[in-house]
Amino acid sequence: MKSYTGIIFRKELLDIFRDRRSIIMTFLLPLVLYPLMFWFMGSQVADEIEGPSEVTVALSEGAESFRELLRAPVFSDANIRVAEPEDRMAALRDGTVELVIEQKTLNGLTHYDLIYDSNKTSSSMAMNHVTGYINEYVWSVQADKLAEIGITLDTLAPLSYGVLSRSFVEGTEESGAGIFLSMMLPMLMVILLSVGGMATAVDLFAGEKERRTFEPLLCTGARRADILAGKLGAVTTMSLLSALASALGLAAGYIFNPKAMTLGLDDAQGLAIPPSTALFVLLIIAVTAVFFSGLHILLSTYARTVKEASTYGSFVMLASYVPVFASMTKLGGDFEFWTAFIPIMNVTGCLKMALAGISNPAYMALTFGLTAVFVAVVLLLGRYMFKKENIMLRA
Amino acid sequence: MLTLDKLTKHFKDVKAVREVSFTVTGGEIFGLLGANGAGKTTTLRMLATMLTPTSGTASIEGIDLLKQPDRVRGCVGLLFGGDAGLYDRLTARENIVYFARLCGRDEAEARGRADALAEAFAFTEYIDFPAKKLSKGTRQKVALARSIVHDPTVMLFDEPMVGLDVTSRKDVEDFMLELKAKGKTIVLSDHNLNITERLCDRIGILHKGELIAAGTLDELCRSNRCANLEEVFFKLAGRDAE
Ligand SMILES: Nc1ncnc2c1ncn2[C@@H]1O[C@H](COP(=O)(O)OP(=O)(O)OP(=O)(O)O)[C@@H](O)[C@H]1O
Ligand SMILES: [Mg+2]
Repeated sequence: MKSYTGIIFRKELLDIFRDRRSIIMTFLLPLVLYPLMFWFMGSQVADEIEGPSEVTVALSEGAESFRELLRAPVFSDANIRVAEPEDRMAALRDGTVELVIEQKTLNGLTHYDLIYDSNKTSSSMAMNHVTGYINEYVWSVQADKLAEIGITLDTLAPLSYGVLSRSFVEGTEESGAGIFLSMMLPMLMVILLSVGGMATAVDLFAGEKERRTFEPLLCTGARRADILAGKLGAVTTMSLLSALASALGLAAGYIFNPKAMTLGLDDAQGLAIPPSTALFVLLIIAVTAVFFSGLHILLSTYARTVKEASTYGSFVMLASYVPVFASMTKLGGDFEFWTAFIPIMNVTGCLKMALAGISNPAYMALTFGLTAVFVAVVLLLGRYMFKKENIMLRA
Repeated sequence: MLTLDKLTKHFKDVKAVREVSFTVTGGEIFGLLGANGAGKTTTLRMLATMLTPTSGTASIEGIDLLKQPDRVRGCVGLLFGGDAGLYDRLTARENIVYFARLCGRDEAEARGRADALAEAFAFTEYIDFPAKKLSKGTRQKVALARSIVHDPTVMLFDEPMVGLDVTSRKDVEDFMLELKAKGKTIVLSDHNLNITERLCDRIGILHKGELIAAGTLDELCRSNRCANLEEVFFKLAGRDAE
């Protein structure tokens, strides 16, 4: 008997691509919004690492000696400006000054208390900035005093050390996509594989029920397995395209502004993924897309209405966040073998390994196999549901 | 020809259709009347192979529903009323072509069929409009065209005129008469007694899943000593009926 899967698949894609809302949700959002979000986050963190360009402080009464201190050569490039507000604490609260400095005498020494607003990043950054310079000043004065009696700081140190990084990735010397990209890209990819097909699944199953197009469809020559397969193909396509859009978005963002996209930690060494790993990863991405699509389809078939289906769908979405966020800070080398048994987390594991240039065929094979088993279960359940008339024609 | 043989459907605790038997021949319109929940839609859904009967069977053109559901589907057309299920984002043409393809026609044949049907139903000028932009009447015509795209010999209509204005209603009515003239076997379920009286050659009354009477309008009136269909209906299936 003839299979109608191809006809159904093509019609569904045509239908989806005419829906502006799905297109925005599936492509435009991951392509533009997520990279933009990271860009923004990244620039902020980069600022934090670089430190503020200027700091404004207010001196309380009796702290005038701080002005003298600022004239020391160490402070020449510190850009610390002294403001004179009426009410210093109010100024600190309003953010017109970032620090208030008080002075007293402690153990016979001049002592400054730096007061900052613990709810403002700008204020705590200013605090770090100023204490950094004060420390430097203290060190330099100490060094000068020691020099007067013929001692250098080096001779006081009990030891010294240096830091060298090594990557133990086969075949490539120092490869890897950089910490930020290899943390964010797999996370986004997996989330979008889950979310990307959701709107479509809701539309193609619960939506058809609600609009009463399902019944005529069930009366055509297409067998239920054909209908399920055609629709699964369409949902999976959307899920994959959505993940692809996020990867493209991040890559484009990285090309335009590497610094922001890597949180200022521009440590990317260029990607060098071995072809066999790349193939494995593509297979894993594909099978994960089918898995999520199948899951969304099951729930959308079970639901009576679009609203109900969306609720179930967001549940899947949230559930998939758990293993993704649980492994968010892990790098490619951090995934122990047992994590290959945890669904979804193993997928992020594979992606991170690939981005780090690590090849771990056993881990990847297990991930692929396990996900494929889940796909089989989901598809069998789907076929079963499609045969149950009380689910298909729920009143 | 359509024959129902003790067709029965039970849902969990509801006996929706109980041992319903009747025959409709080609060129005949059979009316199904019954209160809400009497089992009309369930009966039609079984005939369209969407639901599996609990017991009993039916045959269409001699093909048994249980044994060859795929072949049965090939000769049955089903049309619902209300807001007919069309794909809103597809054009009228794409809706019709899609169903024609799913009924085994190739692309060229399907397109030819869509053009011919659009002409027959006088919506050629709207054929490339997305379904959501069409008026209710036109939508129902497109749905009607879609339901007969595979040229079925048996047509099942479930309240096909709900929500249509007088002219659109007339169009659907005329079309049913045309199908009848072509020798199609037609079952019409509608709450409107006037339409049923006017269109149907024979009428069956369903009450709580049972076919409690069937015959021509005259036969029904005579055997129940009533003046018209309304009286018959109230007597047999009204609130006080047993
Ligand atoms: N899928 C289903 N699951 C459970 N019960 C159902 C289902 N479909 C119909 N029923 C029940 O079967 C009975 C007959 O329903 P049906 O829809 O066939 O009636 P109907 O004659 O078409 O009514 P109406 O005039 O309201 O359209 C009703 O009691 C209904 O609640
Ligand atoms: Mg009904």
